[in-house]
Amino acid sequence: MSTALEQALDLCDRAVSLAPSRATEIGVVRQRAQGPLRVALAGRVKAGKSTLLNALVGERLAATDAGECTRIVTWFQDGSGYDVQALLSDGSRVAIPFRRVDGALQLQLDGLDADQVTRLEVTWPSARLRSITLIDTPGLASLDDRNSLRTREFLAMGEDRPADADAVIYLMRHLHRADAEFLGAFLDRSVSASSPVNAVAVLARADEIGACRLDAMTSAARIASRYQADPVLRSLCTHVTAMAGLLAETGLTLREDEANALRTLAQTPSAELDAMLLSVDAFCEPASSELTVEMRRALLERLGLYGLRLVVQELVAARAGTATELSRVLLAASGLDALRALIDGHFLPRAQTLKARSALAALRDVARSLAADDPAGARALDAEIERVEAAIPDFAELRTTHLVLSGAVILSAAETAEVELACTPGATDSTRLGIDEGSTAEVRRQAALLAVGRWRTRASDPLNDSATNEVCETMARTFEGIYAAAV
Amino acid sequence: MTSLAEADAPFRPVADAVLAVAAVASELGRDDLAGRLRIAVARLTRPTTIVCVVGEFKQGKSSLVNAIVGESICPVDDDLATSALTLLRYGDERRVEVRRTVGQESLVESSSVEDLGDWVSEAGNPGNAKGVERVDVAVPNSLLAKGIAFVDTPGMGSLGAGHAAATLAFLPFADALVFVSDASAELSAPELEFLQRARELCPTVLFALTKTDLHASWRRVADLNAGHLSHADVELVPLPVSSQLRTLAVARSDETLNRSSGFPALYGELSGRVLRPAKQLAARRAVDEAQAGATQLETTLRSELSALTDPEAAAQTASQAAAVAARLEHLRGPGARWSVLVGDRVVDLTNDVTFVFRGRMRQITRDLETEIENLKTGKDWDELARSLQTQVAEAVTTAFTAIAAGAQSTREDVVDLLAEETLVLNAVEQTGLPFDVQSLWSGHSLDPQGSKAGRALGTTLSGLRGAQSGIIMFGMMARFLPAGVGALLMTNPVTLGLGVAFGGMQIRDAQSRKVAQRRQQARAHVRQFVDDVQFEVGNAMSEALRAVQRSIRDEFTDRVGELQRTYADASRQATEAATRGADDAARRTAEVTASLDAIAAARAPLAAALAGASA
Repeated sequence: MSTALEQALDLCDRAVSLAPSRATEIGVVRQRAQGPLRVALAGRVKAGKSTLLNALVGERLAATDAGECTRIVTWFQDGSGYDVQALLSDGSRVAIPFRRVDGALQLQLDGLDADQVTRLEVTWPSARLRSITLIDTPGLASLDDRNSLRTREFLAMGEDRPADADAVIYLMRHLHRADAEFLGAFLDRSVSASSPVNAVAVLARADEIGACRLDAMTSAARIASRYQADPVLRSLCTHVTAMAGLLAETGLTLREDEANALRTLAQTPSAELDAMLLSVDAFCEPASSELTVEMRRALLERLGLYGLRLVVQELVAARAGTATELSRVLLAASGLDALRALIDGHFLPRAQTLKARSALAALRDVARSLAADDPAGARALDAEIERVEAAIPDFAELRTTHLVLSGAVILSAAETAEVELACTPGATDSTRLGIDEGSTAEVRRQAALLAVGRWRTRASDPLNDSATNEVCETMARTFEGIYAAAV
Repeated sequence: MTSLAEADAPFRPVADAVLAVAAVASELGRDDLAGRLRIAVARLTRPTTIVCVVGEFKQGKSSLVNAIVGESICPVDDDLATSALTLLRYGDERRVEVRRTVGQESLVESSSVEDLGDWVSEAGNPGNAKGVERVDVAVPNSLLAKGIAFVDTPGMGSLGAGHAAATLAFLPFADALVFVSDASAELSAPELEFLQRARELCPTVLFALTKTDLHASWRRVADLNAGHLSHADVELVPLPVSSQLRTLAVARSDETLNRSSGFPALYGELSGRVLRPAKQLAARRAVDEAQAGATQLETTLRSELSALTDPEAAAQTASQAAAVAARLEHLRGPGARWSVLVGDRVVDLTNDVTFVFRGRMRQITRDLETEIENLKTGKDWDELARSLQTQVAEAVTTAFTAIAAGAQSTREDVVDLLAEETLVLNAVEQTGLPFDVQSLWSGHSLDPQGSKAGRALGTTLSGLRGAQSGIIMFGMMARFLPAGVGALLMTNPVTLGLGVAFGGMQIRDAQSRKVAQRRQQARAHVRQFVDDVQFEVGNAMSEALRAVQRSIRDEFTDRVGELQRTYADASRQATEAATRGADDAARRTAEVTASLDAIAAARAPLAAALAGASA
């Protein structure tokens, strides 16, 4: 059996013959389905979206600032050469001059009216961008309504069309009601059958949540795990992880001169040093260190108070000294690994399914627009989409995972765990059955058979509502598939 | 803290001058007048101003309150936010009282500062599930002793608890509010919106930009915020503060650290914009009381003096004073015009307020029923539940402010009426008893400059704020709201039972029969909610109105009583004077003259002291 993505691509080819007048649109859908997964970074103003994006790419590509700074939706994609273009609302493209200052990318947007620009596209050769395209968005709840509107438009909220992003990394500092509302709206809109499986929440600027104390990250991790157990958030996204974006960004881009300055700093007498690290203003007090105030300001900007306290502690204890070692300290504390593991383990395995589903949603949109001038063709296309959608088990499993994880269908803890395992994309059948790796086909068959029986019985409970029945039926079919594969 | 101590300085002469008058009154056997003056001085020394600390959740409100008072009282946590109101005020000993509603019952329980987290934090009381209306914390703290009470509020925007409407409902009764936003980011749209709304309800606003120790770019953020504020026509300058540094400074007694914490500026604002106006009002009132008291003392003495110096006229003086006393005796009684007026006014007020409130609630129910018909998703439903909470909170606030405003206007009318009555009295006595009756009441009008025309809600509220009953009003509001509604208003709409009907459902997915059934359920929920609110608020309103009537009656009965005693004394002493022997009369004349001199001496510095305090 071909994969969901292959079937979706196949459907695109057939769609062109059903609706030749829409060949260009369908071509775009097809191309997108083949391209990398599109992951948007969204969140309220100043949640640290651009910083996190830089950390994920490992280069300072997105501009960051103390004030609200991202005003235009910006795509960061892999390519063979360096290139920045603005896509204007009239469909034309303008090349944007750019340069790098201290390792940071600077775009010259002079004379460009933000209202005229649909998006910026930064093409940058990077291994990190090969499998995913990252999309930086303006903050929500911005005082400048237009900025928030751009993000909402981009994520297709409030409009009846599929979103441009396949998945979203949602950044928040504490779970604000607006965050929950946004995530909820994104789910509703972005996915025809709605699903939290394409959203991950990040407790960003985690170092600041714990007042930059040395145990701040531990505290933030605890908060993240509490949120993860929170039923409201659980229904919106499956994972919450704490992350100090600034530490990750700096850890990946720390320069030798900065390391030098940090070493000098660590040699300050300890009483002085303690006083300096009390507050950002004390740190920049001219008399307290031989480092220039400009240098210290730069360090603060790059590391934050928590980063400084951490690095100084490690330097004083002689557990780190070189730029490489300091980078490692920063990265380890930042929580970047955990986020990357989430992307690799959560988004990428589902990437194929997500892209296939996005493609189907886009095709459905084509069919809708076709209905006006070619009703028969539109109906035929719709029927074809329906048929393919029903035939792909991945979609049903994705939806089941969603129904269960979002709490729309309430199962016992054991059943929930079973659903999560069985619906893990890319996992071996043994893993999905929850039995030892390398179990014989016979063992797998027996286990699958038992599971089928269990879910069928569960499905026959007359008190079930329709959603619960749907979940039980899907589970039974999933295990039937595993049984069939083991014969 | 120095600026707060200095702030007391100009008011000390006023307090001393008023106490001097009180001492004379005591000496002359008028302990009733002396007692009143001592109370006025106590109010001057410690006015009960209320400062509400508001803002979004996790911005450092509780830390700020702790840092201001210099003690760790409100629970602070990286993760869990405040979930219920805490009123922190001065008390001779530490005392914590938890007021909450369990089922239909209102409970007041004792607790301790250490266990505060069990009641007011998300950790011990998630989503205010324990139904806490308010926690009263009294501590013997030197800053609180200056006369500021702080209210730590649940932040807005969290999922668990805290709702802007519930916070806003309290603001009309606060003397000032401290808006808290941290230096990590510039103001967000909802924050600015809240600030604008809050400012309409409480014009004295301070903006604390917290956590400046952590964020290197706090100056940028402060500038950006100042820009946003001026753009929105909000005249407000962010005060950068660091609670962390202030706490350390207190622990280490480090003056440099204290300066860098930014707290001296915050204290300056609290003292200049909150305490000073309250003290000026209290000073004006205390001086008015002292003048009126001195006049009463002089009335008695002068009538005696005139009887002593002119025994011929003594009988006439005595009979005139007796006539005034008799008239005043009648004024004290329940049949007096003012007393009837109070009764009538309270009945009118009750009708008005109840009518408006019921009408509003009916309108809310109707509007919501229409909206329920147009519901699309479960999320719309949450939105609707929240708007229900907001509208009900507004209706309740309006009702309560109307009661307070009505009480004030009734009071002013009583003053006018009594002034008319006493004009008649003035006509009765012509023997030159120096008596400015008007001065007796003018001091008690809440807003001396305020005319009847100025009774727009705004001025009324500012008058209310100045009233000594600030804490009581606030307390009533706190009890008033949560007993029936507050606990409901402060909870997450989902837990209202409203969300249950639609929870998680996509209406377009479900069968139409089910949708109709759920709409029916939703309507029933709304009606139930409105009914509950009406019942609870109705009870609280009648209680509040009874309290209004009682307090006005008691106040004026006492006043008239004092006055009556003054004239009765005058009459008696004039009669006695006529019967004295020559030697005795000469001795008594000297005594009375000495007393009059003492009164004049005590009275002399009053005006200058008040002028000094008002400058």
